[in-house]
Amino acid sequence: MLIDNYAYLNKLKDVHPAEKLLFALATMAVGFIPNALLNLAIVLMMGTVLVFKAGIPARIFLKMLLIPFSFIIIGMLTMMVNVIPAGSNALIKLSLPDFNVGITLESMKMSGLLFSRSMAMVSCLYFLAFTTPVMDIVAVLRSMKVPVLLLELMELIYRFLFVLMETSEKIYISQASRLGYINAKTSVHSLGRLASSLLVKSWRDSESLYISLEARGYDGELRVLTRSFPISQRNIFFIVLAEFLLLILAWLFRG
Amino acid sequence: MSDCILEMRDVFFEYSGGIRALDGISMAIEKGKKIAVLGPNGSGKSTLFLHFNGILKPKSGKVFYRGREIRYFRSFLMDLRKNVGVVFQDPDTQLFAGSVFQEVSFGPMNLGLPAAEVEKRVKEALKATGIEELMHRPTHFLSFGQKKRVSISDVLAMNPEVLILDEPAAYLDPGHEQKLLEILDELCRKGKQVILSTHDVELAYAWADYVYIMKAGKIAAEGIPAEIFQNDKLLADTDLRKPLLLEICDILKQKGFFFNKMPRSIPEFKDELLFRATDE
Repeated sequence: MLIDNYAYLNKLKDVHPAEKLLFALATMAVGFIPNALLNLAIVLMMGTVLVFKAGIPARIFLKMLLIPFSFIIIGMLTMMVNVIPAGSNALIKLSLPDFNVGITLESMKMSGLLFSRSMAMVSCLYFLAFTTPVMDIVAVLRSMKVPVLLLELMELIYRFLFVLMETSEKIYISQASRLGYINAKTSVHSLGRLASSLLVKSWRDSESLYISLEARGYDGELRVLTRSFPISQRNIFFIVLAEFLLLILAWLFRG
Repeated sequence: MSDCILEMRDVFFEYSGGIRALDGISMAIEKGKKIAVLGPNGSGKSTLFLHFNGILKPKSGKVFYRGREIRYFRSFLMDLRKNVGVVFQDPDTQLFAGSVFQEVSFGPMNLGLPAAEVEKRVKEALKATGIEELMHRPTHFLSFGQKKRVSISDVLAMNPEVLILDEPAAYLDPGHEQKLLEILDELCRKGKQVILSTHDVELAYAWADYVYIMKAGKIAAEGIPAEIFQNDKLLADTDLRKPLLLEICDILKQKGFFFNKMPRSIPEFKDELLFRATDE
């Protein structure tokens, strides 16, 4: 939920969400060009914008980048180690009775590209997540005519995620203060109780919510007014410029 | 009966499972009076309120708004809910949107107003409860007191004639409660009808012009606070306590002290004492 806090407090929060979405998506699209150097440039660019423009501490950004690391490493390893045909020149080879397993130059390159591309994509998504509140993204999607049902679900899930978290925390504290988690046996028991009471409470809360919406004239569609943002031509110019520079970089250092 | 804003005649209501929540309620709420409904938990206060804007339909009996009988079809209810707003007890089950601005805009959007008008109303409603600076804050960042005020703004933005608040002071600290009463008084001055429910006899005694006492789905008593809270037998029957100020005045009276008018607040009490002192 750390990211969520930054989304509301960062220095780019008043920038039009469509611009931020464009920046993230366009950069992701460019990032599909298979070029490790380009991908590295994307990570650096997103990091620079986040740290210097949005005011996100560099330490936080780096820490968040480390999170997908373990998944990516596993993906890389499976890609790097392959069954290789008999005659090929491998860097490392393990001969088994029926076939050879090893790492070739191509598989090294391949997994390196996978790694750098994953980091580039992740940093684009982090840019969006760190600078744009969920509700602003939903507003942009709304103007792009994404089905209302999906958007309402997104909004409600987002809002009630926090209510659910708060409620489960309260129940947990009240259980823990009565020694509900003193050993493994009581912990399992208490956790079960927590889940069931959370379900019952959510059910009742959803009924009260429905009543309170009805009292304000709810007729099946959650119509809310979204905040309006000014569109900055300057920002759009810089986004186009940045993508253009990335493309040039990819062309200059093409494989 | 033309000066009655809301009226009930012989209303019965049962929840599914046959639990009788309202047991023959008749009441006529006079326009312009500050109304407090008191009663123990489960006495039917919330159920009563949900009848006033047509969320619940009585099993028998009738409800009237401005002399017109409430009918339970869409357009009538829409119009009724525009005019009679309910603020619910738990803001966490009332607030659904991600940001305060979106949350408060929900009611006026449902009225089909143009965006500029909705925005104006949202701003006014937030100003009336003193939380303009929270406009673009996400709902889950707010404290309980702030959420409470957002839930009041929610309803104010629809510009209703009647504002009904279910236990507005519950869980509020004394500072927030004081502020809440100031907001409500200001609304009354602007000509809104305010009805609230509470357990707090001090609050009801100091604030209300007229009180209803409920017990087990019935109106046990109604009247002006000065009289209701002097009725010791009634208070004992309905598990209520006499307001402290009234208790003190009673003791002073027994000691031969004379009050021109029973004070409802500490400043009024002081005035009476000063009046008495200069009198001698």
